[in-house]
Formats: sequence, structure tokens, C-alpha cells
Amino acid sequence: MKCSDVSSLLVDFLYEEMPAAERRDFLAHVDGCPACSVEVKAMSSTLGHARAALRGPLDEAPPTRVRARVLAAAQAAAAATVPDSAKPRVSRAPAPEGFFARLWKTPWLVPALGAASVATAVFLVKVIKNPPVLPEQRSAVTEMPAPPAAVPRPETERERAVAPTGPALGVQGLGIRARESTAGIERRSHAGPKITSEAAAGKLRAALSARDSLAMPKRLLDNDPLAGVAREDQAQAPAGEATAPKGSGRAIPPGHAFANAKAGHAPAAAMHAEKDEANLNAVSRPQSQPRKGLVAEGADSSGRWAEPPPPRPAQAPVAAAPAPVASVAASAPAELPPAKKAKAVADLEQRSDHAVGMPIASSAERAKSQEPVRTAPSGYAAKAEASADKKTPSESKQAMSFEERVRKAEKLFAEKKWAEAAAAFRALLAQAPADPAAKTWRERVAAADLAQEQARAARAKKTTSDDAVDGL
Amino acid sequence: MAAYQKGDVAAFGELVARHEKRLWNFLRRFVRDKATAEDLLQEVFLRVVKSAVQWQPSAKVSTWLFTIARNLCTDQARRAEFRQAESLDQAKAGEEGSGLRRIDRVAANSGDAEKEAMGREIASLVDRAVDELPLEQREVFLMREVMDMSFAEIAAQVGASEPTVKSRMRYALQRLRSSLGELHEATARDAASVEGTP
Repeated sequence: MKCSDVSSLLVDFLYEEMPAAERRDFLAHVDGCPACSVEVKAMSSTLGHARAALRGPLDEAPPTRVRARVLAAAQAAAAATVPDSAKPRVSRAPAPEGFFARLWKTPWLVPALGAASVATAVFLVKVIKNPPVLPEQRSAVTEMPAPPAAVPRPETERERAVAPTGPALGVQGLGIRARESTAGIERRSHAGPKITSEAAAGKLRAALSARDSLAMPKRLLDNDPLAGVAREDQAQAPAGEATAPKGSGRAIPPGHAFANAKAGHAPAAAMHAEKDEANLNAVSRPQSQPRKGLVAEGADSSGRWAEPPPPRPAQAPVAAAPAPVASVAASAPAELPPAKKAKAVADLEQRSDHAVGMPIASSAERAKSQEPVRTAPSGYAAKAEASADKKTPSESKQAMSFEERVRKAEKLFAEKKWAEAAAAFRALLAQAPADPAAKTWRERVAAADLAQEQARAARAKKTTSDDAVDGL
Repeated sequence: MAAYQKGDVAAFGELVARHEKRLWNFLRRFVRDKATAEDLLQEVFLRVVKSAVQWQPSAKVSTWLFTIARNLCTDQARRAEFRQAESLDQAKAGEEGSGLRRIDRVAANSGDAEKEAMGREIASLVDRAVDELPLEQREVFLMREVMDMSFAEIAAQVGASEPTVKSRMRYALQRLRSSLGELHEATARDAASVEGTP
């Protein structure tokens, strides 16, 4: 160790912060070095004197007044810094809350929001499931052809017995419109209320007349008040070439319902016609009578669409000829003035070269009609057969007299001479019970009897009310 | 200190009693003036009162107190440098007011009285020698001898390394030795002159 080292390590030696080994080296050097020894002794003496002075006479107590001031200040500060919990609360006026804060605190906000959410969800679900139909879309839907479910369902025997077989004619547009009108009436009739509204019946008759008028000759259509509807429906019908019915040798103009029937619309058209007739009967039937056949088209009694029935066997063109005379005769009394009605029926009856007026024969009846036992052919088929077979004049005269009797009966029925019409049709039935039109005649008889009963009941009611008025 | 934070003034009184003497001696030796030291001591405790809510239990109260005292002393010493002449006058006045007279130093002949007189003389010399120390050496010397702080604590307090603090301590001791040596020589000359008189 050198003297310079002793000088630098002197403080550590005096304050005893030197390791033992280094301390031994330090002391060894100091013992051997007189200069370092004097230096170390002088510094040790100075430090000893300084400590003695600082911890002896220089060790003074602070003035007591300082402590008093400090404690007073501390007490004042402690009093000023009382915990907040001990401080009296100063009531402050609450700040005015904003609109949304007050709205949020209202008790009805959450229920109202919930109800609004539910209503919105329900509305959206309904809109998604049933999107609104625009007017142009609605018309497009109306013009669409009948759905497949509109294929006629198998006709029950009871329905056949009640509902007359309508004409196997149909135009797509007319069929749809007739379906719409009849379906509406059917739905209403299913709903329960008594269907006696003249408006509903008139609407249905108008649709049926329009359909039947398609089978009329053009000149009849020109005079028919419903010809406009028929022409419109004819315009919607697919244009086709003139078609001659099998065995008739007669041409049917394009757009004629007969052509459509041949083009494959016969089953549906026949079904529609049958339904329309049945609905008409249901409308005019008293409420007490059970409704038969009042089922939506293509649907079963439960309202579901029925399986498409097997197609009807192809009807002979002559047999498939409609019976619009009966339809017109049945509807004319309700729709047309008596004079016009009579004129239309007479004009129709004069059209003996047309198939109008021939009822549809059932398959059994058709088979029977093709047999030689058929004694009283009438209408278009009779004329055609007569011209083809070149019958004798006496036979033709007999046939003509039979046709005249038929026309007379139809005329009486159209003129609402119910008793006479019923008697005429009964006579025809007695003479030719196997005639293809016999079923229609029977219905005429039933309708005439029913009308008689209703008229009788109305008269009785009127008499009762008059008596009551007189009694008052 | 934690008790005083909760409003216990008596606890703060105990804290003052525990630390005021060392703080007073430190301030008294550091600022050289008794009235100034008294003001500074009061200021130290008032600052503690003001900052009591900010005190954290992890902090050492003595270190916090001496840090405040040192900062106050440093500010006071810097202000005193602008009034050097006045300080010199105060030092001269202090010397006069200390009551340390040479006649008092040699008046007593008894052993106890001589020791007591020697003690007063040495205390006065030490007091003056400490006052004449440079600021950096003085604070290190007082922190070590009055505050009983280790060199490591002093180094942390003054923001210097430990060897630097030891070096400052060594220079302070050399200055004190020098001052006390002159005192011893003077005392020896006074004693020889008294003995040589008939």
C-alpha cells in the first residue's frame, strides 16, 4: 500500500467501513510510515474533537416556541382536513336533466319499446310471407291459366244426380272468371250466411251466360247484352284453326269454345260448367235444402286440393255439344227483360243447324244414343244425321214435331209458366225417357215445381202480411 | 405519520419531538444563524403538515424530513451568497456573540473546569470551522455527524456517488484539522505567554 492509498482510504478507516484485510494492510503501512502515521493521528483527533463538540456543547434543543407553532398549525390543518364523511353535506340543487335522460327514466319506455319491436317483427314476417301484389301483378295473376289443381275431380254419383251436366265448353279467361265468381259464392255459402242476395246470383248468372254465349252464333252474340263479356273472353282464348267435330262435318270457327274443348280444355271446361250450374242451383235452392256439390273447384270438401282425377273419356263431338239453351233459358228470366228473353230463346231455337241446345250426354247415355233404339234425335246432331242418312220425309216430320214440342216446353219454361212448362217437359219425358236431354228435362220439371212452390209460398206470405196489416 | 393522516394531532406532536433536535442541530450548523435555523425548522414541519395527505407509508419519515430540511438549507445558502458582506458581518458578530473569550479559556485552573473550558473552546472552533466549510462538504459532514446517515444514504440524498461523498468528507476533515490546528497553536501560544509572565 502506498501513501496515496492511505490518503484515499483514510475516511473508510476513520468510519470503520474498511474490510479487515485491507484494514490490516492499512495499519501496517501506517505503522511503517511516519508521515502517514502523523496524518492518520491528526485526522482521527480532528474527527474526535468535532464529534465531541457537535454532541456536547453544540447539541442544542430547538426553541419550544417552534414546536408550539408547528403543533398549532398541524391541529388547524387536521381540523381543516376532516374526512368527507364527517363533513356536513351541502345540499346542492340537482342539475336539470336532459330530455333523453328523463325519457330513459320513464317507466313505460321499456314496455313500449318491447311492444314496438314485437309489432315490427310480426309486420315484417307477414310482409315477407305475403308480399303485397301490385295492380299489374294482380292482373297478370288473373290472366294466368287455371292452376293444375283446377283439374276436375271425380264427380260423385250424388252430384251427377243433382247437378246438371253443363256444356263441355270453356275459354280460359272465362273459366277463370267463372271460377272466381262461383268460388266466391261458394266460399260465402260455406261460411254459413244465407245466400239469397240477388246481386250474387246475378253475378253468377252473368258469368254463366257469358260463358254460354260463346257457344252461340255470332249474330246472337251481337244481340246479347252479355256478348261483350263473351267477346272479351273469346279474344283471350287461344286462336285456333276451324275444327270440325267428329262425325258432324261442320266447321267450328276459330276461338270457339268447341275448338278449345277439342284442344284439350274440355275436361276443365266441363267441370267449370258443372260447378257453375251446381252453384246456380245452390243459390236458388232454399236454405233448408242441403247444399250439394258446393265445393271449391279442384278441392275436396275439406278445402284441400284433390288429386287430379283421371281424364274423362273423350266425348263424342256431338254429345259434347253444350246445352246453352237450357242455361240461357234458366238464366234469362233473371237477367233479361221478358221480351228480350223470348226473342233470344226464339232466335236460339231457330238455329237448328248449330249444336246449341244439345245437352251433354253421359257415357252410358252416349252409348245408348249411338244405338239404333234412339228414337228422338234432336238438334244439331239430329239434323246432321238426318242430312247424312237421308231419312224419309215422314220420319223427318215426326222428328220436327218432337223438336217443336221441345222448343215449346223450353219457351214455356223461359216465360216462367212453370205449370205449363212442367207439364210439357213431363210429356216429353213420357214420350222419350231415354233421350239425351231427358236429364235436363227432369231438372226443368224439378225447377218448375220448385218455382211454383216458391211462388205459392210467397203468395201465402204476402196474404198473411196483408191480413196482419188489415187487422191493424 | 399514518395516525396524523387520520387526524391524530398528538401523533404528529410525537413525530416532532422525535426529529426536531437533530433537525435543529443540522439547520443550526448549516445556516450558521440561530433565528434563520428556527424559521427553517418551523418551515420543515409546516411543509410536512401541508403534504401529510400525500405521504405514502413506504416512505421513510426521517428521510423525508431531512430532504425537506436540506432543500431549505440549500435555498437559504444560495440566497446568502448574494449577501456575502452581510454574512461576513454576521460571522464576525457571531464570533463576538459566542461568548468565547480567551480569558474564559484560560481562567479556570482546575481539571474539570479546564476540560470544560477546553470543550467550549473546541466547540467554538468546531462551530466556526464547520461554518467555514464549503456547502457541499458541510452538508456531507453534517449529514454524517449530526444526522447519523451512512455514506450511501448521503450519496442518494445529494445525488452523488458514494466515493464522491467520501472524498467530500475527507476534504471537510482536512479543513477542520487545519482550523483546529490553528486553534491549538493559538492556545499553546496563549498558555506560554501566561506562564512566562511574572
